[in-house]
Amino acid sequence: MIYPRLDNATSEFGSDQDLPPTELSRRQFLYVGGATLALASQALAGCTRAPAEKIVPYRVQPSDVVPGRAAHYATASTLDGFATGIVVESHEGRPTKIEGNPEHSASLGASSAFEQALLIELYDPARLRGVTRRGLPESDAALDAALARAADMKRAGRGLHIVLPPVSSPLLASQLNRLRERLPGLSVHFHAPLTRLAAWRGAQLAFGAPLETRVDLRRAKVIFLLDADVLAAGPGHLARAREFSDQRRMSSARDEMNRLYVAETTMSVTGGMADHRLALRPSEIPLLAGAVLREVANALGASAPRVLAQLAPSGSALGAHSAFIQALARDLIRHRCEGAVLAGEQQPAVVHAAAHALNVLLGNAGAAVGYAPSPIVACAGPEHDSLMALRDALNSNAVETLLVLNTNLAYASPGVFGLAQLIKAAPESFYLGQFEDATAAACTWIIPLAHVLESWADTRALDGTTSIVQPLLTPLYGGRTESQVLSTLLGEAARSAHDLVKDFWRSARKDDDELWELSLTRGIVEGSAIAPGATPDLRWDWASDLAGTRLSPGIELNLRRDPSVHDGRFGDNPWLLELPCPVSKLTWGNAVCLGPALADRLHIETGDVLALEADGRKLEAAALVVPGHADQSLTLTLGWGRNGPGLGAGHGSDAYSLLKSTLGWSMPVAIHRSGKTEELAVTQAPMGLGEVESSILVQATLDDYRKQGQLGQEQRRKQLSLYASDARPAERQWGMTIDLNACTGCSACVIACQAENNIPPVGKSGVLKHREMHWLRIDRYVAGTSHEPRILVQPMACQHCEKAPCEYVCPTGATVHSSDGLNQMVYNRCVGTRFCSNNCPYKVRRFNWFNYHQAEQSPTELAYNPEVTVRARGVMEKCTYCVQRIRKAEIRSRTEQKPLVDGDIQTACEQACPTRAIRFGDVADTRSEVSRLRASDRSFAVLNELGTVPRTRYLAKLTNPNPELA
Amino acid sequence: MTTVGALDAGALPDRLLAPADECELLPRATDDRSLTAELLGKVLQPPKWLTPAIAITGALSSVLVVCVGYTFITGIGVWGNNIPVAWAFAITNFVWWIGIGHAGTFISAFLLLFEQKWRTSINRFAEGMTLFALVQAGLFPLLHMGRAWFFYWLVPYPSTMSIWPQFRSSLTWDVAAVSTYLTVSVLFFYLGLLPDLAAMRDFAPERWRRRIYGFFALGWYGSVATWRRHRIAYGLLAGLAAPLVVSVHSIVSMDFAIGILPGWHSTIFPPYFVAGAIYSGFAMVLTLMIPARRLYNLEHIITTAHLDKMAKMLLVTGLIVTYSYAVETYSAWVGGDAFERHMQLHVRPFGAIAPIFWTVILCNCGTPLLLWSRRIRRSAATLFVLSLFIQLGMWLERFMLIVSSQSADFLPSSAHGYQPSLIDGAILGGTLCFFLFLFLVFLRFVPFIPVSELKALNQELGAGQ
Repeated sequence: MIYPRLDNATSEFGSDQDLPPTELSRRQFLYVGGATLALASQALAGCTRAPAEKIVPYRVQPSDVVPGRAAHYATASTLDGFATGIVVESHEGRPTKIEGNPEHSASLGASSAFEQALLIELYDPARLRGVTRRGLPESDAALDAALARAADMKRAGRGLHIVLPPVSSPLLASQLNRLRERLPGLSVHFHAPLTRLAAWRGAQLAFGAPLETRVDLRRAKVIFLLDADVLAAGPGHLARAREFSDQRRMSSARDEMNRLYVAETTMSVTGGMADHRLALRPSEIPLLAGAVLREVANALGASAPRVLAQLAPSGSALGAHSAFIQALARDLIRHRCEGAVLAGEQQPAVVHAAAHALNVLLGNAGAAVGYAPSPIVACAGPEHDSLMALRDALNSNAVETLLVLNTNLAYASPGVFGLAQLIKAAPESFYLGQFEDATAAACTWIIPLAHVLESWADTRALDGTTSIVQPLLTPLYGGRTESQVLSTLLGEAARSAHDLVKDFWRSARKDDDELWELSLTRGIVEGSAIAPGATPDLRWDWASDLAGTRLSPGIELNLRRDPSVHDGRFGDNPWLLELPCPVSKLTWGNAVCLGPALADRLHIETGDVLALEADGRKLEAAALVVPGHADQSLTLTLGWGRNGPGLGAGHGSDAYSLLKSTLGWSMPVAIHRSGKTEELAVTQAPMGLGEVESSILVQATLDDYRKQGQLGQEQRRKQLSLYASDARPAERQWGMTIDLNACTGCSACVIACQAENNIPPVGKSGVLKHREMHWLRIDRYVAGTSHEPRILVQPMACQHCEKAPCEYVCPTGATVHSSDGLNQMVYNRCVGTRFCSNNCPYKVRRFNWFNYHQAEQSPTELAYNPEVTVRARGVMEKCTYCVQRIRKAEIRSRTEQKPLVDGDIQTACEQACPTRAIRFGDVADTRSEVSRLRASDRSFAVLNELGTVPRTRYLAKLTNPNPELA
Repeated sequence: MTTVGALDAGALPDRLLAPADECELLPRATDDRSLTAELLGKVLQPPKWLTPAIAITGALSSVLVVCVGYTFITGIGVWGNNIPVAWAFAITNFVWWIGIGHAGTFISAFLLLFEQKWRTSINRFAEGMTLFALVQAGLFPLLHMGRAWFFYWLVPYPSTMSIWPQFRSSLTWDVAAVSTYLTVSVLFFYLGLLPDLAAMRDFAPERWRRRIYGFFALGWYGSVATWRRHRIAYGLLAGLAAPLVVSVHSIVSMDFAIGILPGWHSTIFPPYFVAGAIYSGFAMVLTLMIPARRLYNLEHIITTAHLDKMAKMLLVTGLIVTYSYAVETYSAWVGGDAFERHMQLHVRPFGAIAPIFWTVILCNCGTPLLLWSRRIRRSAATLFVLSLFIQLGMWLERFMLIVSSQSADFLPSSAHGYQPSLIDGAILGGTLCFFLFLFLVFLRFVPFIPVSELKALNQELGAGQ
């Protein structure tokens, strides 16, 4: 990670100026050549605007720029206001891969599918390309003038409304403050559909301040989650997943393992990891929270308010679960000060308060759980819940100018508000956005938003860690950042985003250049984290509200974040559209999820289109029967069913249209079968492993593991083979281990692999034909009982079998073994008989049925990894263990004469993996991590009896059930 | 078997057929001249329906050309194949067509070596059918490749890069087996045709016809020496072709048997496939011959006795196929392999593919049982219908076998069914039309009953009386 020293470049290489101007020195050539490549993308867009700054980022030292050698830059991405540190790989000015920033607290080196997929978004051909007013191109000057008019001092901001996502950026916060001073009548609305408002309110109830819960799952032996998908969603989930899995490494049977209790409506990634999981309807979860709280308070003799007595499970709807509640309470008490109770963002505030109360009573607060102020600006303020006010203002024509910055307000807001129509009726509206979405269609002015990889900005993570966002290239389509727009409103002379950020930090922190550059290099601003303070005193005045919650009669609908498109934010991203949901394996759309029991009762099958009616609002959506869904309830994810242009438009159903208020995530609903059916692009139907389970996925309870001392012995047994072993094996032998006890199935690795290896998406029709190209897929099986189903996940890519069945059937020798143990695919030699795929028992080979890459629109091809061949039609492809990374490291080790160390080579999936479940390395080196894991008494080979001797080994999955609930 | 026996076949007494049966194989009291006139006349004065039929099948064959071109240009994504079902219609069609060819070779080579007289009337039909079936079959291995333009990489040729095919793959064996088979079949067909081409040359009224037939007759003038050499060469080729009947489909079966998939990985495949091939081939001979015999008024040449014998072949091979099914299922049941058991005892009989499985059982195991009845064996119309059922059954058998094993192999996660596309269907239909087209062209221009052999047989049998 090297920060480009652009501004100093000319002075450092001042000697260049001595050269005759007509001659092109080698140095200048590299300078120009590199810059040309970086700017070529500009030319692609037909954009003639010269770059405002010299931000071509790789010029640390021009003599050091070697075409073909990638450079890496630290920056940060922001989702719903919270930052995740990323490191971007750039080839000659062209970003090609995004990784997590190991130094960043919300990443720890890992990245989720969202961060990975930002790359393809950058090169999305559908991005907005220039300022328009009512559909006609306008000049930047005209826009500036229009913005200046809107912020006219004389009106003091009356009638001016700004809507933007929750802000953690210190720069934006200061700009907003100055804007408020300048224009006192200004209205600001913070809008993210998946707001943390309930969490802040819950903290407000419990502690009197909107504090963020900060948890270190490494210190929690018993974890109780109330509908909180902490391992796969929300700020800092990557770090939470790491902490959680660190307590599940189990290098021997004697190790300690944490225990996870989850109560939720629909199976989530986190729920899939649970040792005990209760599928509850949305309205039952507050009751459960109260019941557990009562049980714990009683047992501890704490001075809890008397109202909690009403929450006794016996007699209530939770009567059937009283054994669970008591066992859970006892377990929490047994592990006082080493537990954690967390509530999900979409739970009502009282449930958060109950979780806080439990943590305080149990002594977890101050141990695994801490409380600290939020990095989000004004999170206690009304601006975070002011959409209703905005609607009223629009309705009463009190809005003269509406500025929507970087949020698809017209679509991603409660449908009843009818904001799309209202915005259209506003006299003047500006939209700073990336795509031609519903808000773009409603607004008068459209301003292209600079992509995060094109932006200068600052942003903060949940723990306050601040990152400076630095661009990798000049905006392809002349995009502006939020700070630039606000700066124009402030009446400042046109300034670049770079200057805005740098000047702000220089004045705010007295940054000198060195500190500034250090922040850029590391991707974090030193000392910016907020330390959790002492736990405030617990209040109890909310308890009567909790006690007063009632079970909703009839069927409840539960609206949820979508694992692929979030709130619709990633709704046009081809990689994410095609990413199977970790639980349902649905791609290219959403569906009404329901459990098998309800489906049986109502005679609903997967694919039946249901007509939903909630309080007069109607929606049609296809049904999808999923394991582990709470009875008498349905779940629909947000972000689909959009109209207009865009790759994701027209797929799925728009859950926002049923949303009544910002926090109305669950509602009673009436359902009818519409008689229609829809084909859902599900990659794997829910299925169990049956009698072959022991051959494919070894799992056991912790107790059984301790009793047996080892697992999967049969699956480690050496098989006889007629085929000779490699006569001249290389010194290094590559192999992989995947710890199924750590893997959550979050699917970050799937997108990381797609990004690294130039894997094309195939579209919904391709998925329906079962032609996904993912080299790495996550197999999902249903286990457990029908009463308490569990899901098992198993990442599955080429196993690099030592006796590979694909190799001997290839008529042309296009798939062969390397001496270092890789099963190689020689694309040039492949004629595409597909015999190898047939003979692969793991079915991990992928065939280019068409010329997929040819169909991609420019400039998508700029996202290609130049180190990986783009495959043409008619050839087979599959996981290579990221051979390009292996060879690059080997070459570097040779040229620099430094021996390769374990961990030098990370495959893309390994690098992205939040839980470090995937480990890659040299199995011939007995000291390597991968060798240690292979030797584990949990390691096994999938389908070992076939004698394929796979190089990828798995570590058995464990569960740690409470003996009381056995 | 010895080739010596074949060389002077006529000289050896026939112990395999009862003399009474033999009498049915030929119309008595037909002299050579009238036989020649009748049989060659059918070529020289074709029936009225033939030309329109050729035109129609030719036009329909263009569907094949279009679909093949479309596939070639766009990619085989236009088919219904997927991962896991990477092989489907194309390979099914390949196995089916090549199996059909086997009956022709069996009739012309095996039955010649075994001195079966009843082969004489039908062998040219059967050989023609073999060739045209091979043309269809040969299309598929080429077309089903992702990059068909590199098909020659499967052929062992001394390339400058010293790269050879990978000989452990059964697909390279396939290339050798099928190309050998095609070569031998063409030679065998042509060699047997030579005397009749010469007869056509001598018999045709028009000069241009005489020239063309004369060109292809390669100067045959019917001396004893020519006949002797012809007999030797024909016997030798029969000796070469006979093992091919066994080897080609054995090797084709290894495309599956060397795979590790449950339902493929089985040592019974070679004999099972050979029996199945001959079974479907005889069915195809019947399908073609019964209408042709009727339309050309050849009931006295291809007699009820011929039908009866072919029906018996169907019965025998059908029972072998049935036995193979039983053994396959039984060994899956007693074998310890959970995956194989799941495939044979669950996926095929009760899974999504079950309707096809049971149709196969009905067509391939049920139909031949009717042939125990002499009445049915001697009823042309019934046999025609039965032969269609058997061909349908054999096509579906290969489809079921190929698709079911891929669609549910080892990991339940990768299980997925298969849905053919329109193009898949059009290509199969197109090959049927093209096959018929070639066959009709064959009827139009080539003496499709081996006149010289029939005359020899006539002499032989007539002399016996």
